[in-house]
Amino acid sequence: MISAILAHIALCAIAVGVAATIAIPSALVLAERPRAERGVSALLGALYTVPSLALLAVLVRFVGLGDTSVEIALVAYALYAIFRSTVVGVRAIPVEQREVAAALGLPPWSRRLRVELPSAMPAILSGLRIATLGSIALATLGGYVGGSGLGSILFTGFALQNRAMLLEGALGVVALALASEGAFRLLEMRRGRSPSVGVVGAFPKR
Amino acid sequence: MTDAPYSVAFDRASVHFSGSDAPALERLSLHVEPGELLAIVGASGSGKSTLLRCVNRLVELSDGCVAIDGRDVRTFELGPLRQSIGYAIQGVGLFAHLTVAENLALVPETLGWTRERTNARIDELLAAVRLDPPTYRSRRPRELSGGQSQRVGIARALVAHPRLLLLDEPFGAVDPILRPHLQSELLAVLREARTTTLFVTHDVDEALLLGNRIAVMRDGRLQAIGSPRALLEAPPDAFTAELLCGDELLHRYRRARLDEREGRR
Ligand SMILES: Nc1ncnc2c1ncn2[C@@H]1O[C@H](COP(=O)(O)OP(=O)(O)OP(=O)(O)O)[C@@H](O)[C@H]1O
Ligand SMILES: [Mg+2]
Repeated sequence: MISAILAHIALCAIAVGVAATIAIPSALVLAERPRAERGVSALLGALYTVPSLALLAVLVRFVGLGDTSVEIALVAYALYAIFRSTVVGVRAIPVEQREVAAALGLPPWSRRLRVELPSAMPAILSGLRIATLGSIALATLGGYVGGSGLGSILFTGFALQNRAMLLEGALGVVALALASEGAFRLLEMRRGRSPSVGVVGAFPKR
Repeated sequence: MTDAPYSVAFDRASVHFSGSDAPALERLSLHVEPGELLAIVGASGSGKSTLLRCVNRLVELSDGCVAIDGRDVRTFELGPLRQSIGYAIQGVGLFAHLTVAENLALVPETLGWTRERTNARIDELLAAVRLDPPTYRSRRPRELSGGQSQRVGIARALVAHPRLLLLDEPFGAVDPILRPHLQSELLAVLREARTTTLFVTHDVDEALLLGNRIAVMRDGRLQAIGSPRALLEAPPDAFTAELLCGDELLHRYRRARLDEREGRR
């Protein structure tokens, strides 16, 4: 049970981590290029709507049974929420703040990392939160294709008609989801309390 | 630091914003000498901010040309150009997620200064705008009053030894008691920094006190330009006279202050 929970956490953490590493930098760049951003959003949105079982079936065909297939599916689903939330967060930065960043002559990556990323952080955090929750739920399906994690307990329990195992797996997933929500709440509260949030407040009009 | 101050030349510069019929800037020609402090006054909406923003290309001209040291600003590489121009936006514009010191350090970091040099410069400038460095260095913009934020904004514009300063109503939120102190501090800093300055203000007395010359803006046009004395003694038109001289009593007072200022030199 413990090892299944740890495996589940690892699956989700790696998926969200990889998705964030891809989605956040691309969103920071594409937020400035509306046409390209619309294209990528549509693509990721389409990917997001592919039924998970169908996606897993396809992946198993090409990648084989096991965690790798599960991991790829999780990343694919996590991309959308993180990408969109980052784009929205960057677009919401007040125009004065953008102008100041421009007027300082900061190089593009310095501007994105020092100004845009921290300003968009509340939105990005909510995207990560949704992506994490989605991954925790979705990772159970991995049990179906021979992945590790709580899904393996669930599906074994299902196959053996073992109610105790089913319950164990299901409760494990719920507990993980609650833990993740709690962790993100804490994170958001800490940011909310620190005076670093609240972009608008720094621009008193005269 | 040894970089010479820029000269700035507007040559029939016009700006038309889409969606408004009246131009924000209309065939404006103007030359600012290296090291000069040009004060810009005029009614709200007369194009003062637009004029500043054409220089660092936050606004692109619809027609005409703005040149720095005789070279069209459009031919400069944008990043380095802007790093060499200090800009204090109207209404502060500090980054809320950064501390005062981090706000000031952005451009020095980009320029690759050492931490020691950056910190020393930050303390020097905070002291110059009368903010106790140990107290204010690590404050967030939220923890500052409007006037304090503005002073940090001025310090940020000055931090990297700019060759040109664009200050858009930098003392707008500073109280009248502290204002004269900051004005003389600014003059001292500028004299030492040897930089060219375009300074927008609504305060005519401030313009008379600080400016080598004063530009009067009206409806996107340059209504008048000249030394404080020339404009006060012989305003070229009724609008300038009304704006700068005020009534009889105010006019006498301003001329007396100008005498005093010029006597002091
Ligand atoms: N980004 C913009 N888009 C459209 N119109 C603009 C824009 N910026 C300024 N304007 C218009 O251009 C004109 C000049 O504006 P500007 O900000 O230069 O005035 P100002 O002299 O600085 O006024 P104030 O003293 O109120 O700051 C105004 O009529 C304004 O509405
Ligand atoms: Mg203005």
